Amino acid sequence: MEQKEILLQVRDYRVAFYTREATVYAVNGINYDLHKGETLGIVGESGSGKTVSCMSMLKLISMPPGKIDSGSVLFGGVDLAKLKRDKIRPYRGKEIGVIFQDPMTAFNQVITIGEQMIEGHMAHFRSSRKEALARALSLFELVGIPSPESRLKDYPFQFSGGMRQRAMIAMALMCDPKMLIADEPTTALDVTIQAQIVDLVKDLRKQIGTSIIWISHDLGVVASLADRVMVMYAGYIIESASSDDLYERPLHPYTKGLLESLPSMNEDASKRLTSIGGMPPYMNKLNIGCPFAPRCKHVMDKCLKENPLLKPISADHLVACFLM
Amino acid sequence: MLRYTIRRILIAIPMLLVITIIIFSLAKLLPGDAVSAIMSGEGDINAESMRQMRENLGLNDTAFVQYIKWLFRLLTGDLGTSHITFTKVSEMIGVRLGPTILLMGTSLVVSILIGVTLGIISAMKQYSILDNILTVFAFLGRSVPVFFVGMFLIYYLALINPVFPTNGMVSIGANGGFKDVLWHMFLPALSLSVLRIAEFLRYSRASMLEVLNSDYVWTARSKGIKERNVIVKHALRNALIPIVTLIGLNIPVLFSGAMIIEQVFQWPGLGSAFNNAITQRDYPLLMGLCFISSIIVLLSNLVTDLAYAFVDPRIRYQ
Repeated sequence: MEQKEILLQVRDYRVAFYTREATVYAVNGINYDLHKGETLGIVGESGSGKTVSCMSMLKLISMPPGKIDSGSVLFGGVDLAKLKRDKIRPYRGKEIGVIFQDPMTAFNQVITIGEQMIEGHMAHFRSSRKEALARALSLFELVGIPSPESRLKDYPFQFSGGMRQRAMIAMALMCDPKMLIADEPTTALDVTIQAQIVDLVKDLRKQIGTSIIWISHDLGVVASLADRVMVMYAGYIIESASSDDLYERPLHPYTKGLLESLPSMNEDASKRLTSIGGMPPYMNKLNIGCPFAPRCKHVMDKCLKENPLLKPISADHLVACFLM
Repeated sequence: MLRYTIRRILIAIPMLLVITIIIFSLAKLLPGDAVSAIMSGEGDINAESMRQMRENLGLNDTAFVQYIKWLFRLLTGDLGTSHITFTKVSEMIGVRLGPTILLMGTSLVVSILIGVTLGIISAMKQYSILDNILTVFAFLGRSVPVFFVGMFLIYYLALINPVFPTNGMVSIGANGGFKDVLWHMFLPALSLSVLRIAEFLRYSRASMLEVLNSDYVWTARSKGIKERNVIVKHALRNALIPIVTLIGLNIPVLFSGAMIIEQVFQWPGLGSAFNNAITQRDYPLLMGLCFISSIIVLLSNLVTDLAYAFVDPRIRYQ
């Protein structure tokens, strides 16, 4: 891939949750770049830190108990991680838009969709209701919501699931952000609607050229969308490669396990799907060894004593495993 | 919205009818009647004159006939005549309704304003010292009975430190200026409000805490609007929905609380009339009072439902 301008640069980023009962280390020193116009997929199981790693950049997690322990998030020359809470507001929605997982609960049910769409625009650009509504209308057209003018006056519960997610995407695009964080935007939808939303995002990307971080636990969805994929496990990035490369040559045992657990069209339907044995770790202490070691088929003595670093295998393929 | 309103009003009609049956049956089930209550003071009772009195009062008809007569009079707005004072029940109630509604209404408004505000503050500053103090207050307020609060306030604010009057609605000889009434109302309204404030505080705190953790509050933040707008426009609006129901449910409770506190403070409202009607077996008055309070309860339910639909579009568009 040709070198494009870097939009977001994350370095040694750590987030933990400190409660009276326990400390949970959610993100444990991750490094990555997001280029302009690039779509980056982050995959991992629930609790692997993929959502927290993104939402915490905009301070969209409860703080306390959440806390950014170290690292930097450079966005347009500004370190978002060091910003005070009241200084992050200009970035929310305007520079970085967010699409949430469940459009049913992510919309306020007692306010019309139109009203919810325009408030960010009005806050950032000091625009009038009329201007903001015109913008909302054009975005409704863009994301393919039929009879957009009257639908803006409707409440979220009057929308179907797919339409609601389209409206959510439109809302995230209101201020024309340079970057979108899409937190499992298709998980709450059924498969046909999923496909429509994925197609819509591909379309929009072509037209607008926004960078996207697409968080998902569905490798299939990510494969069709992302230029590059990062696999997260227990708050670490354990593998990172271009989308094609990762699916053709997975290197980390965990990534291999994830891909093997996907059902395939060519396989005998009666065959049981493979699963990864064991459970994801409860992250209340930092690992000494490799976080995946307890579940790994190829575990060695070294894996229990030392945590492998993410190292390049080829120009664009990084993996954190002693086997490589 | 209009259809919803009409439907709610139509449902209230059969309910009112059932209520009249219950009120009448209860009155009939009570032992004794006005005649035996009047005569109990007299030494020598003439059976014939008692029969004559019952005849005059219409008490010799069958229960069914009495009920139908009462119901039809009710439909024309006639609540009947007291068996004891022989004045019109509607007049007796009319004189006393005002003071009760004044006391109840003041207490309700005060408790909503104070209770909900404190509840929201408590939720915003969860586990702070202020939150803990308010929680202790709320538990105390919820546990102490209304009449006890009344006595307590009388003791400290009327006997030990005579700041407020203990009885009546106006000073003797005065013709009831706004300030005078307010001064007289302070203690009874405060006694009535303590429990309500505690309840509104707890409910709005819980409701606000729940809402503050919802997805849509984070969505609102993600758009970069001011935190104050996130709280007021998104969180508070949703947190108040269950409070609206709570207010409606509180009106009947407040009504019965007012009955008790009116006795404690000699407030010239419906409470003391209720008491007299029961001890003197004045059934027309008793039934009239029950009927009026039922209407107040039904009306408050209706208003609650409409208010609920007003704040929650999911109800409105059903």
